[in-house]
Amino acid sequence: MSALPGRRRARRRFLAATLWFLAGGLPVARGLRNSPGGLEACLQRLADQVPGSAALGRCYLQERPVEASAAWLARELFGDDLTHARDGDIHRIIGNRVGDGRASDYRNGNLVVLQGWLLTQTEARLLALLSLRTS
Amino acid sequence: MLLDFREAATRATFEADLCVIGGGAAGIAIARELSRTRHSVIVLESGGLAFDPDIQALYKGTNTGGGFSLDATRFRMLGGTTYVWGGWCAPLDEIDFSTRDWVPYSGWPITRAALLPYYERAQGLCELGRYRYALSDWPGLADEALVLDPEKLEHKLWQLSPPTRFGDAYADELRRARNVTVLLYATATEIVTRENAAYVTEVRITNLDRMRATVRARAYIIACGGIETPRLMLASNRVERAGLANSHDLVGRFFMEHPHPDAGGVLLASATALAPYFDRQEEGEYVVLGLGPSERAQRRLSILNSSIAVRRPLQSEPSEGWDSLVKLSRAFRGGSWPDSAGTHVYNVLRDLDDVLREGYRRSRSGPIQGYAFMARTEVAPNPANRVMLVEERDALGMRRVRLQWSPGTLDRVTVEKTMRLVAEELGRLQVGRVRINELLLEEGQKWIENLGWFGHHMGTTRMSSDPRVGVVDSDCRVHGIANLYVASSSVFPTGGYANPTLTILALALRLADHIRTTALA
Repeated sequence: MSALPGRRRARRRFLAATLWFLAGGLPVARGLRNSPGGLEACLQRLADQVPGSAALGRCYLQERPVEASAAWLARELFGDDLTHARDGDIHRIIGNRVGDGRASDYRNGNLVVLQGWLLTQTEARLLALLSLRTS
Repeated sequence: MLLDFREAATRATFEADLCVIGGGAAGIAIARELSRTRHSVIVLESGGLAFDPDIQALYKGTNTGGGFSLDATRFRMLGGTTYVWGGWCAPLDEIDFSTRDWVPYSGWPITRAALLPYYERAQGLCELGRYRYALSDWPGLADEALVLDPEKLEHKLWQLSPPTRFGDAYADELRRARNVTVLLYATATEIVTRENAAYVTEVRITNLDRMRATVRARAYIIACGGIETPRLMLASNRVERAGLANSHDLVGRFFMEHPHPDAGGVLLASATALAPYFDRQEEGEYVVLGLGPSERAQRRLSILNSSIAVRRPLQSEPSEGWDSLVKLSRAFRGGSWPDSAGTHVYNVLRDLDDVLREGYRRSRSGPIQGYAFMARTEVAPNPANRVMLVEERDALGMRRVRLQWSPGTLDRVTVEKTMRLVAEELGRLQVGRVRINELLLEEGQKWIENLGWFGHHMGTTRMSSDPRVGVVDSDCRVHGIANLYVASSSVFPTGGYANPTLTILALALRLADHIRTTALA
């Protein structure tokens, strides 16, 4: 991020994603409730609604390249919960896992700093997954 | 009575039971305490009743650490630096008095409990009500405050003095006190001892008119603040070349301040969640509630004490972007996704530059969206941080001061880790999202660019029972000198996070009681 305009764009995207998380994390999105296509579509819709998420996720992975595997991140975030889940249940499972993960992260001090903002590890990994899925 | 030294007879000699060098908060507190006794007291004040730039210039010196100038953070006049005091009062915490194995040179030779009665008496000097610094002492505030995890954070509470300008507040009382003489425009330039350096015989004074005089007393108290106290002791080297009571090369060392970094801020999920933490009036008193690492967290993380206070509210003129942000936040709290979510997110993104600017700019009106945080941190005592004399002399012929010091890594890491604890707790409690000033994350000294300073000069004649690591003993008597004492933040072995004035006054009152029953008995 050497050029000022590029940096400003990155900050805009970054702040957008952060504000989205600020608002309470992963909402029960009416639009996602009957989302067809399972996890991929669910994640794509999340990425579409918060354009900054991919940039945030890439920022996270730049500092942690060993985590740059969509499969690994999905396992870390969701375990096996999605393996046999119906498409219609995926958003709820994601919401619950992210919510639980976030609460645990705050309790245990698992925060990461991205451009000064303190996000939970769970949120940061979700953004990283979004960035890999949409790249 | 108040006397002007400039109008005294040439080569006068003043005599009293007690000589107090310095008419700031500590000196005035001691004089007031003894005004109700049979002992005669003389207070030597370099300045007058009002600010005088020529007198103030005597404070010029060099600060190699940068950040503040030595003649802008302390004031030479009756009342001293209370002339610009902000009024924040808080006692030191229990842990501040203890020996901490991760903080070299920590530990006071007195307990907080021993100082408590004097803290209570010091309240009145600052025109404050009862001594109440626990959240539970303020039920109305406690009801609204966050319920914190004691493994991480605890509340810090300040009471705000009006603030009391000690010169204005107490000049008339001192003028009327029959046994107290305040000698204005009288600068002490040398403390003279017997040949064995174990007893003070006189103090030599002068002024810009080159008048000279001598003050003789049974006991002497230096109450000149954290920089001028060691300066006077180092300059008084007629018998001991290294300076008064400086055979262990401690006078002037262990300088401490309270760095105040702009620590970041919080963007709120709820506009009222942190309302109790902004300056407020409670039961007729002005109090400020803040956050800081609990004692357990300090021990677990091996950090110093510190505090985070909400300062500037982040307000904005209503804009579509901010309005959408608020609607999104409220909807998500209720667990639903607004029908027009896409539009709202678009509004925020479209206005994002304005959102960024307005989020960090204060404006006259508009809803509060968040708060900026100001941190105030203890610094680790370090003998390399010191006040020294240089060859350059001031208008009175006294060698000027060079302050050589720098905050250290543990000081910065303390603020960083404290902000992480704040982020964890505000996240857990769904209060909002914390941003940390990224300078706090960088190793090295870059964070110093971001620091504010408030004239808290401490540690330079530190207290210890062992003369090899302290200049004064637990009674604030200078080691090795029977009748010389210090009343100043210069005696603090550690500084905590708390503004020092209340502790300065508590120690001064304790010293007054001690002097009355020992040296003056």
